[in-house]
Amino acid sequence: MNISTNKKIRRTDLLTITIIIVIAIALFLHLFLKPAEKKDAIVVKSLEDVKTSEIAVLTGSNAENVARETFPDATLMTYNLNSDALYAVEIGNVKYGMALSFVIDDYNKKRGNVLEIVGEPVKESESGIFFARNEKNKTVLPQFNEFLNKIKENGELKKIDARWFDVDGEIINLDYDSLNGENGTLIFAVDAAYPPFTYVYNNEVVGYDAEVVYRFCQEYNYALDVRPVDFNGMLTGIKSGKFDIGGGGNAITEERKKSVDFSDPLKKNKMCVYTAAGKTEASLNFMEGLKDTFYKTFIQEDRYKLFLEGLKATIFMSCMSIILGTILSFVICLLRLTNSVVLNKICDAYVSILEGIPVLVILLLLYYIVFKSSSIPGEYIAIIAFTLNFSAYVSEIMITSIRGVDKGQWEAAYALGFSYWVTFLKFIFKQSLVSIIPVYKGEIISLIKSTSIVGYIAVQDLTKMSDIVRSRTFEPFVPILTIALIYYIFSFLASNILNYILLKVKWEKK
Amino acid sequence: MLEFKNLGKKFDNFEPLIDINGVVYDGDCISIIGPSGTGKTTLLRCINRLDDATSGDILLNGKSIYSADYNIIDVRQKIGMVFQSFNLFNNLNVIDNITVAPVSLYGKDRKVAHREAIELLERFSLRDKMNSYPHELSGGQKQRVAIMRALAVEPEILLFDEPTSALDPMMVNEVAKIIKDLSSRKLTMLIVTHEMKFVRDVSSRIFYLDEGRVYEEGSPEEIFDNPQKEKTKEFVRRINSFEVSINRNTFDLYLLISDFMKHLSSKNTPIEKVNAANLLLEEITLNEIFANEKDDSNIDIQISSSKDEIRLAYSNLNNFDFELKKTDELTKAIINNKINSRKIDAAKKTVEYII
Repeated sequence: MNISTNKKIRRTDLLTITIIIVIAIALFLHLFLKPAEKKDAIVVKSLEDVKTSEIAVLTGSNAENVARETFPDATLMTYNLNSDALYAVEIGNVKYGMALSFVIDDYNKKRGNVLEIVGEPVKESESGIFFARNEKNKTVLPQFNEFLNKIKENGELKKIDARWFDVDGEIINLDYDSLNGENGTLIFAVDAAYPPFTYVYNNEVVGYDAEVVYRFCQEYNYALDVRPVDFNGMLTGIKSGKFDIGGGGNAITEERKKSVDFSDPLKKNKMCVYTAAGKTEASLNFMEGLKDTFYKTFIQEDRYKLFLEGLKATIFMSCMSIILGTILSFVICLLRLTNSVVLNKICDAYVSILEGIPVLVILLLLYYIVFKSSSIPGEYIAIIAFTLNFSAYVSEIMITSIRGVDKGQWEAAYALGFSYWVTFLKFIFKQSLVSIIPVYKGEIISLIKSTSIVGYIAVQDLTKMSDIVRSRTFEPFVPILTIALIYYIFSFLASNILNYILLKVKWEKK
Repeated sequence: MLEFKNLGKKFDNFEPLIDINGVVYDGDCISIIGPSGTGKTTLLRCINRLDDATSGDILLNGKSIYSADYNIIDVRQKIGMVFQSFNLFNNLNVIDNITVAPVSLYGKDRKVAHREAIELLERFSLRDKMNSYPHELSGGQKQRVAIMRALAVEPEILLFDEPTSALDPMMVNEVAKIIKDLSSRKLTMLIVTHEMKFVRDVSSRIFYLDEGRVYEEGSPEEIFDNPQKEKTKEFVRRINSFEVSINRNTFDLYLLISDFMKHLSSKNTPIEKVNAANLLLEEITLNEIFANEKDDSNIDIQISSSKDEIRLAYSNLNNFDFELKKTDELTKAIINNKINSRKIDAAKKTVEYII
């Protein structure tokens, strides 16, 4: 009794101590180890210098292609979020970056001219909306271009343009629910972190591309199913036909035209190289800085709701995958216990295939290939992927433990008259639980953590939500630390629940 | 009453039981003995259908246990089994091990089962262990609980598969006593064992199994003191003696001595004789036998003992110094001091020491 109480105290202490240490270390590193102010030494900033430097770009974007063509000797650093690329350049992790001038302007608008453009624009291009090559778009694309022509002529597009690109433009929210879907629903994927073209504001997707698509749907009676993803995910999804249309300042290139269709051009863009302006924000003192970051991350635009929503998705996916995966693994385990050679071979193959493929790859396979043209939400596909992966590992754990139970236990039960099933459940499985649970616990924790990859398939889990917040606040510290703590606490709870169950099933004297 | 009718059991690559015939009457305590690999355990497993016979039949009270009338569960309720490795349910404590089958399988009232289990525990002096888990018990205690577990379902017949083989010599007695006690209460039992002293003490009859059949059957006196058939005689002779083949390249003196002592420990030979034999085995083997045998051929040693003497016989000697000319005086003195006589037979290439 005493021992168990002490143990409980120790476990809780451990949690508190760990959290405090993590926060302390992170704060220390964040606030006190800022890079030393660079002296006004002569810093070469020229397109000549870029040729042999590192360039931060968004993965799969036109910037990546242009940078590769223009500066073949430079090293490309690819980021899944454009805001991460911009931030990396701002803090000096990477010397140069490449992006559209509007994007750089937007960043400077929010951060206070921390970036400067190097030299002349590298390339001029036009951006448009992606259209997947599917049956639906055979009618939608011409309608869209017709609509585009109309608003170009009647000046509507100019107004939209001013709203998102002008310094004093007033942001509005788009009411997607008000669209009537008389002519059907279009799946609209956006790069949720690409202001001012597409981004999240007040927990809704807004931006230049988003508004044009929204206005089009208003006029032509389509409903929109908006899926915020990262750019690369959006492009892959459009190519595979998973999404109907995609927005995110997409440059119209010959290369892309091979696999996707474009609308007529929406905007003329300039691709520029940028670098840190050598100016830092007016530095706030420690407490004010923390307060400010905290305000931006949670309070402004009710961003805490994003975290809660993400947490809900993460918990939902984890719990469903754990429950379904455990049931499935138990079934597989029972099949493997039968004497049927065929069933055994099938199950062995199932386990070995799923163990051998990273869960991210399973997720992408399911999303882009298996469920390519189905309308199952990404969350459910994620649950399927994690269930498959989890069940393979857990059935292996179970079968090893069950086979590890002494054969004599079976025989003794048979000799007393017990049937196969009763023997299995009453004696064998119960005994094997003692060796199953500790390993099972590890699998659960690793499952909870690995759900953080679902952002790849447009599911807005905790990690994805922190990405979105990060892309708006440009403050990576608090969002990342927050989700780190949430994952840790979630895993800690799961692990403690299982420890409790283990104590219950253990037959040694307690 | 249990009858075996031309019972056979065939596995993929061998056939331990070919044609088993015999009758076990109520109250019989049958010991099943025989060389290893003769299907003694297989026979037991066929009786409670842990294995199914491939030919022939077993009748329980005149009815075939393989017939559709007999539910396999009824067979197992009527015929209990005790295993060599105890096989207590590790996740249950002693009392639950005993009551689990009567309560959950045969619908006995939990309280009644509990009371009866406690009576059993008291009878077998394990009352204080009722809440212990199997891993907290000694081997002998485990086997006693296993016997109680089998008794708790009130079987007509109890099968014992080498019940003492996994026990320390010290613990064999506590289990043997219980079996003796059960046999005096006229519980029908079939016991597979290698413990010959025990066989002599408890069995009413012995089945000697060989060649896949009950090769010879009789009372312990008939089998041990007056076996009729060739193989039974050979078996009895062998269990009374200790035989081993040694080779100068591979032989392990300490293993030899340990096996030898193990053999003697089950006999009534006086301790001073055993100690002398122990010393001599080393002295003779090293200095009289291997001093001369330089090649790799095997030498057979046979040791047999009775109440008054131990005989140590070496045979298959090719180069033995039969005149003992080469043996040094000190060795000769030590050996001669300890032995009663030495019989040398150069023609048969044997030498025998009597201690």
